[in-house]
Amino acid sequence: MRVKGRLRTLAVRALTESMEVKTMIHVARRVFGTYDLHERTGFPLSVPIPNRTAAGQIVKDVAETDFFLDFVGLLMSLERVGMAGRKYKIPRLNAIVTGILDTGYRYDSESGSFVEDRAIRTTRNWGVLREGETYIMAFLGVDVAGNSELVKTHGQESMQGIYQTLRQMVAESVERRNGRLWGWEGDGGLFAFTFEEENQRAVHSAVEALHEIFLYNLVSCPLPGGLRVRLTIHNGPCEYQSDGTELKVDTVKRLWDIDSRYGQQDSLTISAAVLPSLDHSLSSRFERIRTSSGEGLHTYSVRFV
Amino acid sequence: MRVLLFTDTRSCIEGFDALGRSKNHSVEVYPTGDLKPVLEEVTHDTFIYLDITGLSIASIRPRLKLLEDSVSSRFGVVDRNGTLKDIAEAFQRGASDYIDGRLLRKGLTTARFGRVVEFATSGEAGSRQVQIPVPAEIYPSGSVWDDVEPGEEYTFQMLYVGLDHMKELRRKSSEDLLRTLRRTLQGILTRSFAGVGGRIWVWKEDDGVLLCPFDGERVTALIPAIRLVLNRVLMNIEQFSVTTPISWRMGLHVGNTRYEASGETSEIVSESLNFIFHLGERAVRSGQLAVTETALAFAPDQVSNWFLRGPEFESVPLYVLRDLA
Repeated sequence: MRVKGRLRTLAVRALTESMEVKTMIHVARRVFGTYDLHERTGFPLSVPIPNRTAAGQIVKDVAETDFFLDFVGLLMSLERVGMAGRKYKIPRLNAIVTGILDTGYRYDSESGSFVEDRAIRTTRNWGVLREGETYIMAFLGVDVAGNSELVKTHGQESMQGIYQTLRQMVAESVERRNGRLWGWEGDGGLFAFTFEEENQRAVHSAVEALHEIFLYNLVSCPLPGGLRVRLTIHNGPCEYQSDGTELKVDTVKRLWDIDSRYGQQDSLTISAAVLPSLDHSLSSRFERIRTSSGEGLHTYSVRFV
Repeated sequence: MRVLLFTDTRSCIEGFDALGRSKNHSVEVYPTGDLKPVLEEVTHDTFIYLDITGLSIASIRPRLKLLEDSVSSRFGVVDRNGTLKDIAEAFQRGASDYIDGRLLRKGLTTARFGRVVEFATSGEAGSRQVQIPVPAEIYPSGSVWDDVEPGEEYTFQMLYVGLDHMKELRRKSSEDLLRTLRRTLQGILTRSFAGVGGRIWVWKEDDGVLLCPFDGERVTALIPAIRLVLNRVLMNIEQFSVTTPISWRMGLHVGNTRYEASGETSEIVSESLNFIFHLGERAVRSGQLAVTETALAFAPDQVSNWFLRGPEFESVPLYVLRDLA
């Protein structure tokens, strides 16, 4: 995020007027992990750093290293929850937050961070994931069963149109729950979820998408046998790379492994770590898949009695 | 599968021993006199056996009729003494199995019962021919609301929606929470049916009727209604956010009424509007989606295949969406 001059000025004044330099350093260390204000400002250790200079340096650093949103999120937490047992009144915080919201972000109170406002902008990293950092993520894989046969029978062009519809159906369910499309190739793709409750949001999206595919097959799908789709969810660590190379991380590889070995058409398959996150009313609708290794996979499909 | 056996003889029960011991099935035994009240409670995942041993032909026919009209409509006949002279009549009335004395003595096996169920369910999808009882006069209201004028009579798609278990909810919940639940449901309905022009037209405390314009050719409200059934669990988790499961029943009909704006409907006299309210209040079970034959006649065939013939209500045949497993 590019931080405009006005926002920087407001942040500097907010910091200057709300805390001492010592506290500012604690705040900076909460953001960066380690932070040496004397080294950053060039002041010798024996010389005290003026409040305004310290605030200016910290705001400059968080803005230039793309930590500004985390920094403001932290200021909000200082006001609401406090730090080391003390709450801080941060002047001009409302104006800073409004300035951020105006640039197309919204505050996600569950994760305590700013994320993109989907109505304004959607990027694959939610505007906040950092290159090279590892995040815990849930992935939803979409795979059409019998693609080669379908293309042979109905032609590439017709199938492309159908796959485009499939992509839209899944993407709508996913984006409504703040997930992102991370890759789509021909007959399938990968959607990503992170921040809080990523497993729940991934499963809710997939279940809704499965229902939509069921209704699509019922009334609109031009294929005589309907579109047979396998959905798979797996979670785990993922190092974010903006060039898309994270699609090759172990977590994603494992997802496609589950899909190819255990995925069933018209069904959603979830890995062992995902099920416990779900509300009982939903998890009780999943059935355990018998596997030789006993890895605790579960499956859901639309079934009528 | 849940098997209900209606019999007055012990030897008949023994014939079902193997089925009762199976992991996949359960057998519950009732006296034949309980057929009617028990049938009112059955769900689609039920198979019914009626033992007609000792019954007169005159008393067998009404019982077969009851079974034919039941929500489950999957049933078989046990006839140890060969009372039924015209066995085909049972099948013509929808039976899927006939067990005579010899078979009963050998006992009903799970493998055989599996074939019976397969036979019973295969007949449900696609084989039913829906008659088309349409309103006497159709005054299409169009596919959008543009041409609908207050004071004029039109044919609409009418969807009854009612919150279930309200007695219990009222006992357990504050008035604030109830208001929130009603508002949440109304919001869901407004969003869900916006794509087909649905508008909440009349809303009483816990139930109401939506109108969707009807172009005289297609019932468009059925797919959003099925979607509401499919997504009920998700909606409970994501939108209602209460620990008690919230469910709602729906009834869809195509009928005529004079149109007045919402809030100005108190003086409307409409048989269809009365009918749809009575239908929702009296004939639709909790969580169920019921569709009159009139409405289903305008739905695509492949959609109607997911509905089962239910009991008639005020002489109008009803179809109910099969229960989700």
